[in-house]
Amino acid sequence: MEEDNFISKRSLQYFTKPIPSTILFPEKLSLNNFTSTYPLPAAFKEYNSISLKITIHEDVCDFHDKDEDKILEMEVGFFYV
Amino acid sequence: MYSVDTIIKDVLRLLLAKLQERDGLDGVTEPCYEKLKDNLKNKDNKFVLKLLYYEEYMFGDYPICTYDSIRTLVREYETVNLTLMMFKREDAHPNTSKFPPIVYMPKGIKFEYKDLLKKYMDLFPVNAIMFRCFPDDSMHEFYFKEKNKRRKQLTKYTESGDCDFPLVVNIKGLKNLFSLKKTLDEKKYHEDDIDLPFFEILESMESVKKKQTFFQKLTTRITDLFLCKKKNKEEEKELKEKLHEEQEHKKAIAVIGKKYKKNIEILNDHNHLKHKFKKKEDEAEKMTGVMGGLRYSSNSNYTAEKIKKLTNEPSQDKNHNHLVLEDTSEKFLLSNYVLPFLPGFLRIEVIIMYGCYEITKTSTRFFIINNDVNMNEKINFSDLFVNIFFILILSINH
Repeated sequence: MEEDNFISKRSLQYFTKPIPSTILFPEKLSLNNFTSTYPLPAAFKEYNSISLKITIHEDVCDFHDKDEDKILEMEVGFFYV
Repeated sequence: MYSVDTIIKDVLRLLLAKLQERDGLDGVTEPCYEKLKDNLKNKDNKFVLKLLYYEEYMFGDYPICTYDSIRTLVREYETVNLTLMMFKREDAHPNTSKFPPIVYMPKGIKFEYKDLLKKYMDLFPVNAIMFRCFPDDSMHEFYFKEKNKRRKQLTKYTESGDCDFPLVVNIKGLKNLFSLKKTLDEKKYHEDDIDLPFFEILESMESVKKKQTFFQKLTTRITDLFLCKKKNKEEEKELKEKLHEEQEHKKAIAVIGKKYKKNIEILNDHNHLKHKFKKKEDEAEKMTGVMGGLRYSSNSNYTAEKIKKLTNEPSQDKNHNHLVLEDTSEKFLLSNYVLPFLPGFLRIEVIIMYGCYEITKTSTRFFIINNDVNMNEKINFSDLFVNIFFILILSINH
């Protein structure tokens, strides 16, 4: 957990923009339905929102080992384009 | 739309409200409340969301569902754990250096070397690499990570119902390609060091210009010998002029830097720029539409005009990549990643054979070839039904 949230110069390599899945799945295949996220399964259409668990890093705000305050839960709209 | 930046803002608002309630209660001031306020006031800070256990950092005006890793998590009914982190604004901008300049040329197609150079090579400060043909099957290596006996694997399957065979695939050609790229980037590069049948090196325009024929070299030497004394004076003059020019150039850059510093910072956020300068919207669109919201630095070799030319030009040779993509997606890749070429794509196909019969066939999704290609993909076979009785017979026979 601590290692995962470590801010380093190496992490700057991974600042990339998301690639739309239409490019990653150009043939719009129903071939590999289990692993692919495009085209979407019918279940995704029913999702109006998803719940997120957001922990706050020490650099942003130091809570001095109060783990309850560190974690925020919220619901966010999930629209598929 | 719920973009990543709005999520970050919402989280910060929630935090502030939470801490504000506590502050001043029982006459005790909260130190973390003040620290957060300071962090928010400081404009050098950039807040970024990171996925737990993934090397995925999210910021900008992209909806959260565009990230493939998040979609896979939602799909598998797993909780989406994120961490709010803070970086310096200077560092936090999308990285484009991961992509090596690679051009794929299929075998049958003819092309003119000069045209290619004219079209693209101005953009390259360094030499580029070109695929001649795709590596043969003999260049692919694959092996199972854990070498189990056949019986063990089968018994595992009968007990649990799942069989996981971690498989590692190595492609020799690609490995060599990355090593080649590294050697090209270094100054001590020599052509004899590289011996690869599948790749060619495209020289940059500067190196082509610098190349001299035998007669040109002779004439320069002769002129050096005869006009040695005159040249000394001329050289001194030239040196002085050069120094003077350099100094003036530095001054001009410093003045321009001060003028346009604000604009360069604003370019990070496309929408922010739109709201603030509604009158200058057309100009803004010209710039950001080309750069795709990327941070524009004065040192970069890709100027806005050069890339605009590329993106507006309809691609004449569609077959220059083994993947035929639509025009819109081509433009997206070119503009968003500031790539002069379409990057190479990679996909692994797996076929299960029984003797000479093909039972099922699946394939992974496409991966764009970066400097660090690490695929961690699950390959599931959808239409595969296995009789337990059949497996038992197999295990008894071996």
